[in-house]
Amino acid sequence: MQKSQSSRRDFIKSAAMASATAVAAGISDPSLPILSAAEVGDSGLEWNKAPCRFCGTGCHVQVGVQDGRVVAVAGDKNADVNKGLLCVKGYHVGAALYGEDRLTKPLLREGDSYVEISWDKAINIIADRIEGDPHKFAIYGSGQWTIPEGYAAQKFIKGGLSNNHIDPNARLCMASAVTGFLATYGVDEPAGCYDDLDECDVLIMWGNNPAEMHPVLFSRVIDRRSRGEEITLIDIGTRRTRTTTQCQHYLEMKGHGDLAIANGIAHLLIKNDTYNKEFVESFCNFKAPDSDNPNLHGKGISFDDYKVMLERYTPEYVEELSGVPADDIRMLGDLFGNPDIKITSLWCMGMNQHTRGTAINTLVHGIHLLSGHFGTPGDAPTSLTGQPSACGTVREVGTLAHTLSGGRVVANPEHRKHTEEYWNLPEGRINPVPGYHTVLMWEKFCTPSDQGGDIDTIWVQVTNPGQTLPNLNKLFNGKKELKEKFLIVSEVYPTATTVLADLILPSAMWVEKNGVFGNSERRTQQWFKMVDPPGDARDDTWQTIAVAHRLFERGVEGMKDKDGKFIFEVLDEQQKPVPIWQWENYYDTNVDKHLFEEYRQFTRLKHKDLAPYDEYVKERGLRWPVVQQEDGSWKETHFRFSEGYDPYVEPGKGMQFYHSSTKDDRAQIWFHPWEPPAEVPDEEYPLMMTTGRVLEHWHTGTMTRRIPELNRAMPAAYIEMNPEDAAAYEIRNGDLIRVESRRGVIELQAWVAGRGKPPVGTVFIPFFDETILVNDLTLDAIDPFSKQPDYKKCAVRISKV
Amino acid sequence: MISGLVVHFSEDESLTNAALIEIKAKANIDIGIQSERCLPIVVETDSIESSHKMTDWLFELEGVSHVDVTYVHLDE
Amino acid sequence: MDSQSQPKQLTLLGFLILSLSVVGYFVGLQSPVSSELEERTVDPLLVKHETGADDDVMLATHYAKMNLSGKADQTWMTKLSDLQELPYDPYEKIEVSFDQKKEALLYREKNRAFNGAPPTVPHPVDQFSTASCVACHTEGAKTASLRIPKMPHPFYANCTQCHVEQKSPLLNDELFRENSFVGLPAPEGGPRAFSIAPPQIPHTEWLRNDCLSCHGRTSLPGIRTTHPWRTSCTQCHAASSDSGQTLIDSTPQFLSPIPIKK
Repeated sequence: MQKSQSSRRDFIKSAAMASATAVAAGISDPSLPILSAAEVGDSGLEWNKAPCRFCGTGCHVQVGVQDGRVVAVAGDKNADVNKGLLCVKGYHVGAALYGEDRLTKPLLREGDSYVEISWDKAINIIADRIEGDPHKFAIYGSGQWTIPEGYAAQKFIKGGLSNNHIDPNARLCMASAVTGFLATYGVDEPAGCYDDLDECDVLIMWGNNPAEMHPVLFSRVIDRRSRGEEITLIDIGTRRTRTTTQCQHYLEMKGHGDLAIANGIAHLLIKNDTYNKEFVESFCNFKAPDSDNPNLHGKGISFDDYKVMLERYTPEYVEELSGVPADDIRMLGDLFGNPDIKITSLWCMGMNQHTRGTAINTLVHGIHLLSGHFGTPGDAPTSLTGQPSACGTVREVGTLAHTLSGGRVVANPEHRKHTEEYWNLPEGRINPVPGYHTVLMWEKFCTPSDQGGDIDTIWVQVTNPGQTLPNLNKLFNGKKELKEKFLIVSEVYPTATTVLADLILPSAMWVEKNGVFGNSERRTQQWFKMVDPPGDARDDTWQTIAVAHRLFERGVEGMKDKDGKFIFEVLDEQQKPVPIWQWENYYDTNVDKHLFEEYRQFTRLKHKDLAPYDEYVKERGLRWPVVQQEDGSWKETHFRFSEGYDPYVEPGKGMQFYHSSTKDDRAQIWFHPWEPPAEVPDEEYPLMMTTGRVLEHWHTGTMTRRIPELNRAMPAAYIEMNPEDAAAYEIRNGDLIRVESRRGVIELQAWVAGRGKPPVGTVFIPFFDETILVNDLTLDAIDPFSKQPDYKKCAVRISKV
Repeated sequence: MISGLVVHFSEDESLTNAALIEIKAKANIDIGIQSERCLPIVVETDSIESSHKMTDWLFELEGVSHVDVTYVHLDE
Repeated sequence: MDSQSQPKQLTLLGFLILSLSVVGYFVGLQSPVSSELEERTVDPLLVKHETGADDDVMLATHYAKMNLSGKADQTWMTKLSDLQELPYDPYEKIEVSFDQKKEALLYREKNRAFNGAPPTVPHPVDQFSTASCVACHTEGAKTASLRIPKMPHPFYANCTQCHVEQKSPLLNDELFRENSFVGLPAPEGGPRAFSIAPPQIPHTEWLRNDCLSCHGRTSLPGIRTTHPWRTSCTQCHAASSDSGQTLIDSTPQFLSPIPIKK
């Protein structure tokens, strides 16, 4: 708006006069009416910190509690992770507690319905089932378990029952990330952290849609750009998403194209002689799969072998395999070959839910190592997690069927010995044979006992396998007809899993209990109970300890340590046991703190050191290893393996992979060949189907679909298709579509190029809707090393209903 | 620099009138419509310092009990 | 309020910035760079024809796309500048009644879960681009039929991260399950030290630091400031928020009192 100098001056003068006149005329008028000033300032509102209940980002929220109920949530400005911001789910996380149909009483199946029973009876029923055959009992847990919950379940089954049949849903979520880290660095979890997002010049998202799935992290990058920084964003994906629209480059690939692309980048780094020779010579070895003896650590190869193996992955050949133009492969090769820029890679389910998940994880680490884009702020291959404590409870506590706490495995006698010592158990208590991984556990559960189905009772805690297991008709629904099988579900709401449950236990959730989570960047986060759970809902940790104590009362040897004491004994200040197995005494002490302090001993072996519980009370989380300083304070670690950041790197080493699987402080650069997906479209099933989440819903929607603001925005699942496919099938928005795979059939509405836009020949269906179970269609093919299924690729056919 | 001010006069009418005459005599003061004992004015000066001086001068006038600053424009 | 409290740096902020010319600037600033926008204009479901030199011809939506009701599109966004703003007199006398204020607070309650929650969006949103959010909400506007609130916080690049549609554009939005969450209500006024003292700000200023967004001319009448010409709001209105946004160990310390022997 242009104004001449003098008219501008007049304008300002008139404004000045107006303000003075207004004040002169009405100086004593209160500006706005006060409705009820007395209430203001004495609201009884109390705020306290907690990590968000939803994804693995680990944002901290401030929870506002009034009259014993959560009434508000704010982003925590003092939190490093989110710096005061949240996504729409985070803002509404408080309402997740207040769905009207919260489970409040233990329920026992009687025919087709349920009867309310007492907790005492419920505990007895579980104890009976376990005593019936302790080795046919399994626990199916979750990356939403708090660290103490997972640790208690782990100790109960592996230490108490000498049974390793415990596996968490994280097997379906990030098992391939674990095997990728182990195969590359010899130790799990990312070396970098979210700080990389503040430093990188190039961000590559591999099959990742952080704009919807990890919005706070994605915003951290694109907000840098809107402040004027130059950042190149590259989306390598199988479907256009909200992430794509923010990216300068969108490389649309066919399923499994990522294997070819990573090999193409490595090929170009070598061909153009732009790989980082010094880094590779000082810090890396080369590996390839061992076809004679397939194992996670493969076989060592020479650099020359490696070059030969990559020979055929020219940009043109990669284009043929992946569908990504050769010039875009060259662009990626040039970026990785440029030592002056900082490159961060992000991935989550796209690379993990993959029948070659371990392979693609190692390949992406490999190109970062080969090019030297590793170990300094902004140069990092970083895997994200989908659940709030997939890292903390699954990977660190070690609640997988083959692991023990602190990076140990059941198959290693030394590791069993440490564990027995920390738990004060007699030697030999821990079973050396790994238990069943998720897919096998449910397959055994759904197989009749007389046909080798040797799991007869599963206790599910904090997750919803009836919706998330792949190929549900095989791995879950089969239970319905098997009367000898017994399903126990600890839950907060009725779910697709409780539909088949024989015993339903009402649980406390989030700030209704104490808790500790571990997020994607090695950050351990603590919170306190702020409100009471509804009705008779109780903490999962208490449930586990109560069952353990009932078995102890019945004289089950496993529930005693080698001195005959209860394995979960907690002493008060007078050294008297606190009866924490009785609910009325459970909060007489902080059970979380006792379990955490016990668990903490395990964390030193793999240099994942945790600080004492009380340190976490003070902080918005700390990233391990957290090492005590000379002045007694505790210091977190931002970047691992890198001198100057990681206290465990010896001075002068520069970079030290001190848990190297080759025991020479080196990381492994892997070659893996491209292989096709387990199922590809054919004449009978001509479309590729992929699954995933949407911004508004988290996991199976059991919480977010009960939050009005979120559910109104995204009420039900839909099938998303390309407009060309829609035209070919004469499908319009809102049409009801039948989708069939070789494993099942579902019907749902079409949304042509809806939230995202798949390429021609691909359809997308989100998995949050409990009445439209996309996992009736998905494939149960798994990665050979991680045992993680591939939810992202299966063949379907569609028709209008 | 342009400021909007409110001059509050004392209860003594003769002093008020004397002050008003002095204020009206200033070329760089625009006078607004008086409301009871409050007079809105606009002062235009070439610097912040002279603006402060003008405010102090107003404040020291006999018959002025009080001066409110309601508006300041700084950027010239 | 006395003359000793010399105003600090007051600059003229308000009422000059009525123009929507910023739209073009922000749309340009958004760098979605991918060819998505271009591609959508040649969406195969749209009628294809040469528009020729006459850019004013608007492409008709194919009937097949019609039940994707009201999706924001390029055309909508760029035509915004044609909207006529209502004439605005910054010195018009504003009086706020008890009922208006009540009405404003009730309206705000309807599109947010609690005081402090991000408001939901009462119109369809573009599923892909935030450019159309930015086009209208950077400055806000008031026309004869529309009240477009101004963003009360700095620009963050991913608008839909926090603001979701009130109603799904496609699917039936019947509630899935009843929820008994009762959100923190909006405060009805800030505390005052005495009856004519300026009220304190009764809510956190975090993500709500542009006062005129909710209290300026594009705001609901019931919570509009009566003195819009005063633009340094926090000069008189102090914070009183208790949103727990302080570090745990930052308790202020004072020197011990002077020990006086009796």
